[in-house]
Amino acid sequence: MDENKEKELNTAEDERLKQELEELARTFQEELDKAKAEEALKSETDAQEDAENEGELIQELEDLEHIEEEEDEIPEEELCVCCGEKRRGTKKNPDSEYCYECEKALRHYPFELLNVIIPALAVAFCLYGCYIFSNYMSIYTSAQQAEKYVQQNKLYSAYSAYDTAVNKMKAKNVNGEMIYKRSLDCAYKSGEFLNSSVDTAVFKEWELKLPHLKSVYDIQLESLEMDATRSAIEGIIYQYDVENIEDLPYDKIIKEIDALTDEPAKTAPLIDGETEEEISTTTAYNIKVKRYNRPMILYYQFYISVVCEKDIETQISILEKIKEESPEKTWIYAAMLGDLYNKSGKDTTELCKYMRSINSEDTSADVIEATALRIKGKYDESIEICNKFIDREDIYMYEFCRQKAICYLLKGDYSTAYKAAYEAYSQSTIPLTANLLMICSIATDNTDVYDEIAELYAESEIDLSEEVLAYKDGTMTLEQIFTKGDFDVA
Amino acid sequence: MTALYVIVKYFTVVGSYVKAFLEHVCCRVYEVLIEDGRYLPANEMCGHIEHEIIKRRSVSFGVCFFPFLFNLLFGIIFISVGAMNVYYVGEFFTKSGFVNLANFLFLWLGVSFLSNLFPSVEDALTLKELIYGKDTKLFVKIIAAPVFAILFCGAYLERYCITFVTSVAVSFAVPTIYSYILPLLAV
Repeated sequence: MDENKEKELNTAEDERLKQELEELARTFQEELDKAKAEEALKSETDAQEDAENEGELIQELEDLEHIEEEEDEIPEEELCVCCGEKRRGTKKNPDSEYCYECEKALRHYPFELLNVIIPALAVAFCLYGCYIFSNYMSIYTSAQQAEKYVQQNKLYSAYSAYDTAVNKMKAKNVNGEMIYKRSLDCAYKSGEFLNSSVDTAVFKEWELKLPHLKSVYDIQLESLEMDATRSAIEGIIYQYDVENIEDLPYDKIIKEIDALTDEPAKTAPLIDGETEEEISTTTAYNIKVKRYNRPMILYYQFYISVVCEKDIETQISILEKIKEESPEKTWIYAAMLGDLYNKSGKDTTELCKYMRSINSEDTSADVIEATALRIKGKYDESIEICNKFIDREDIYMYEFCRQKAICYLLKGDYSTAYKAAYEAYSQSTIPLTANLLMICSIATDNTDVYDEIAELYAESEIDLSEEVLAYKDGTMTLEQIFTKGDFDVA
Repeated sequence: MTALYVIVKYFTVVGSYVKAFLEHVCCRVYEVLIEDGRYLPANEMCGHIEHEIIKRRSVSFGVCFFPFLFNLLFGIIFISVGAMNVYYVGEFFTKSGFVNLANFLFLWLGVSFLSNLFPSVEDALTLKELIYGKDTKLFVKIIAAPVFAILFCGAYLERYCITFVTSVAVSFAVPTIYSYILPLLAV
């Protein structure tokens, strides 16, 4: 029984165990199936994703291949003319000959180093030019002021302005040859060239042969010709060693001087104490003088005629020769010719006009005019002219004062005449002013001044003027002195 | 004619170069496409920049006018110093006797710049088309006329090298011109 019972028990236990095992196997199977199903699902998703990605890449690759195929296929006429690789044309400008990148680069074309250096140097040099121009401005303005004066025939003002320009050039170390040249031209025209401060050594010798400096060469040559003429004539005069000037053989000297015109010039002999070296330094150039200077020859003939007290007509004829041969050289003859015209009662209007056309500042023309008016008896007009130049303190102020004094004397206003004569004498103590002051002193009974001047004459062993003495003695009247003869007190 | 043109451009090389540089600058500023960036090619574009055809009026005017203006200013300064110092003052040599190169250089630069003022004929024609086209207002046409006339005529004068002759002539006239200007400045 027990055995049976035990058998029954074993069978039940086996049955239960079998059921448990079956249940366990079923659960496991279920889990396994479940896991398998999940795994399968996951794998399927991944595969799907991979498949999708792969599709894209393939698509891209296919696209790229398509593009490459396309580029390879761009016809030459559609290629960018710059790079030659890409298709020409841009969004903005489909007709452009360039691709986008090339067009962008060409619109901002780069600068090379040299591109910038040359303009930068030009700018720097331009600034330097501005500095130079401003530095030279005072030279330009002075020279142009001088040129303006030359155009207006104001030669003395021009000469002065050129002098200022030359000094400014010297101060700035500027070697302005053309300004030196113009200054010398002006000095020559005004007769100041022999006193000119222009250093002619600034010109190079070979330059003087060039056309733009021809006038400098001509002035240099004429200056040397004048020097040679002066020396030759002085040689002629000094060979006649006479005690009295009247003993000079006038005709012979005039003939000898005149003969120089056709003679070849000899080099000027050295002045006492002067050396060859000094001469070469002064002249600076090796300019050979070939002939004597004709105006200078005539001038010396006039000088001899004055010394030998030849008549006015002879003197006038010599000066008129200069006027005829070298009319532009008014500084040699005009003032003296005008004076002689006045003394001989000739009309001076044309001469004065011509003198002013050469140099409007040549106040010797006004002196001649004032004298001519005085001689014609137009005292007030003469005084008016004189006052104008006395107020300006002109270089001929003494002569204007003198003419004014004569006018007042002839008008009978002796005190005013005395004042004017005294002013003339204080300006220039020449016999002309001294004689007039003596006459005015006599007219105003101011014997102190008369005695003082007479004493000076005596000390200098100079004879008193016959007209002054005659006026003092009462043998001559003012009218006889100033309205007859040479119309002046000699 | 091109040979003579190129010779003159090379003789006035600084002016040509700076003119081309200024055109280059203008092209960059206005974003004009430059086709050939060489400044001194040995052809009719020597001294100019070869660029695309400009379609805007203001750009075309700027590219033509500003290089002209700057070269003119440079030229006036250089020629003033050069011509006044050489022709008027006559400073050919220094105090120490050497040739005063600076003055001759100024004179050459002046001639050089004044010989290269104007745009190329092509640019001038483009400008003409843009200013005197149908779309332009009469007012603009009148206002632009003086400058346009100078640029247009100048372009042709420059093409036949006449600007070189005129700039040399101007250099001779400078002292006379200044004889009128300087007294005003002095006042």
